Amino acid sequence: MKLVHYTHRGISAVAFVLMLAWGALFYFTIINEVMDETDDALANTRAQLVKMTLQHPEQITHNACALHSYTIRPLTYLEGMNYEDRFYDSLRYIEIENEYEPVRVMSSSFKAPDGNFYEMKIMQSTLERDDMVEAILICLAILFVVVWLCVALGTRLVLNRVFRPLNRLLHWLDNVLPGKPVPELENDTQIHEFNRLNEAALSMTKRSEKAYVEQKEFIENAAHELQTPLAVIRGKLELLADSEELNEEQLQYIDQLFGQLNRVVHLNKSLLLLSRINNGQFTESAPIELNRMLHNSVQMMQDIYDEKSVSVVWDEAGICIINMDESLARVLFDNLIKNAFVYTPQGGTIQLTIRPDEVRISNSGEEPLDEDRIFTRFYHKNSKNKESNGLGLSIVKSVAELYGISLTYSYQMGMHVFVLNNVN
Amino acid sequence: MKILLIEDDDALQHTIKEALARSEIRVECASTYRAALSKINDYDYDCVLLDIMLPDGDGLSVLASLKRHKKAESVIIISAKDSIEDKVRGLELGADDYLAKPFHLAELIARVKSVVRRKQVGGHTSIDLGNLSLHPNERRVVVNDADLKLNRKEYDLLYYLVSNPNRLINKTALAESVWGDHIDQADSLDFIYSQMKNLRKKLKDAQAQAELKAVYGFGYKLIYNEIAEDSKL
Repeated sequence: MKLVHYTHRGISAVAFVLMLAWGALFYFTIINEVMDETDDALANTRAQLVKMTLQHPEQITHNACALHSYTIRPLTYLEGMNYEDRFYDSLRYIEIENEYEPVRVMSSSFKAPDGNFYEMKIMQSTLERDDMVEAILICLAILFVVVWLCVALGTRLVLNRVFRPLNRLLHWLDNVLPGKPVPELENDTQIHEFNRLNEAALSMTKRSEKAYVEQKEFIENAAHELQTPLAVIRGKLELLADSEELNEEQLQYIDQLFGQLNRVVHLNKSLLLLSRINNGQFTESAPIELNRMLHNSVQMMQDIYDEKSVSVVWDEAGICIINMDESLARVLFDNLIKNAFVYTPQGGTIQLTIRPDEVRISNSGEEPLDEDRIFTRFYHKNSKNKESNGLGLSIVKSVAELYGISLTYSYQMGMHVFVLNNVN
Repeated sequence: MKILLIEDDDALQHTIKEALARSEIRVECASTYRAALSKINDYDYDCVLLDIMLPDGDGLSVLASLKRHKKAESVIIISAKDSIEDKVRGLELGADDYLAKPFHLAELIARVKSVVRRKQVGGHTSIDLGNLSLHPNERRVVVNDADLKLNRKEYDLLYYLVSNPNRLINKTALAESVWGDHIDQADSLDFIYSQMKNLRKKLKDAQAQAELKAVYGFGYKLIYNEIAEDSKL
């Protein structure tokens, strides 16, 4: 959820609750006030009526209620003694209109000069009050909607403005890539926190960029520095092997040393190649026809892995041409093809599918590989091949990334499938 | 044949010197840029082995100086940097070959012999071992005046062995000479066994005086004893 939406939601919720509470308070206060007014008016009327009634006692018996606004009825002595005055809401039937009308009623008692108790009910229509309540509610509702809209719009406008530096910073961070120079950060703002965030982001990226460069240089330098000692060891071993007086066992030892030394040499070369690819030291590119390159590569591997009797199935529909450094293209496809040959079981199948924008290399295999990890360096969990230095696929991935080629692995119907999509 | 080896690492210098000496190639050494320049000015060599990373200067300047003085020496660059740019730059400046460390000594010797042979004007361009002669320009092998039919890989292997006669060559070095270094050796060794078996049989059937010998599963040796063969005649 976006920060603006989140904040907006929070402010809206608070505003909603506050306005609801204030609306209720406002409503009940007004109603109470109006009720008090009505009750006061009823009490006044009662006082006048009682006074009038006491001056003209004959009206009691007449029960004169010409305006239907009050009724008088006699009470027993006991009722009269215990009578309590009260106010309440009720309904009154109006004959002419044949409907009920809401009224406020005050019922009270008084003692006539003849010593009898009477109850007097005075009614006052509350139609006006109900109209008022309605008006209040409508006004409140309008106010509610308008204020809410204003809050929504206001927060959005303000927040968008406030968070502009943050959005610029996020956009800038998206453009920071390892191995690429840190881009200029132009994000002036008067907001203190954002300024600090800018500084922190800038110094952190510069630090990590520096560490990245140093690490790359370290790997490359270390690999370079190893080349001369490796050359000496290899040379001395060759000289030693070429001495006359060695017996078979001694030669076997030297042979094993040769083998191990070769692993080191290859590992070192692979590390150098990887660091060179990641350093972007391959900038040449030329259109390369992959069909021919794949055929050459397969031909070579078929020679080497002749004993495995792997059958190769070609499915070519069109020529696939890709723009990249030729030596890297060879590294990429030799590694993939070699990988397919190495990991295909005896008598297995390799299938090559070439489309103008896609190359698919599949080989039979017993169980799926961990697709999240097969491209990481030194991953050889399932590898039975002791000679594998665990860098082949990682080099492949680096080359693919360098040229914006998408490379995916999947396991389908007993085949390991590597798909390259030409997206450059 | 006389060679100047320009290499600042003592151990590597001694190793290369010893290997070349065993192939009856005379070697003089220079460890610094200055020493290299003075040797080049004072003497003539058939070939210069040049490490381009020297403590007191850029090895490529040695190459430039050679070319400026129109000296005829062949130059093979030996470098710890196996980068295409360096290779291209070296070859553009007039180097004859480029060999990345760590190389096989047998490979180095084959390359030295190859560049020196290419410089020989009008002379022998073939490599002869008794009745076997290998013609690199035409990729042709003749035994007893008859063509020996070899496939491409058999030829590459024989060329490598003929360049290093009477020396024990490890099978991984042979594999690399055919496949380059982007193939893990262990994978390609089976192939080397069968190719060498065929090659040995072909040489034997053609009655070549040089004999291809497998040594304890370690590698192979092309044996040709000039004196012994001569005394038979």
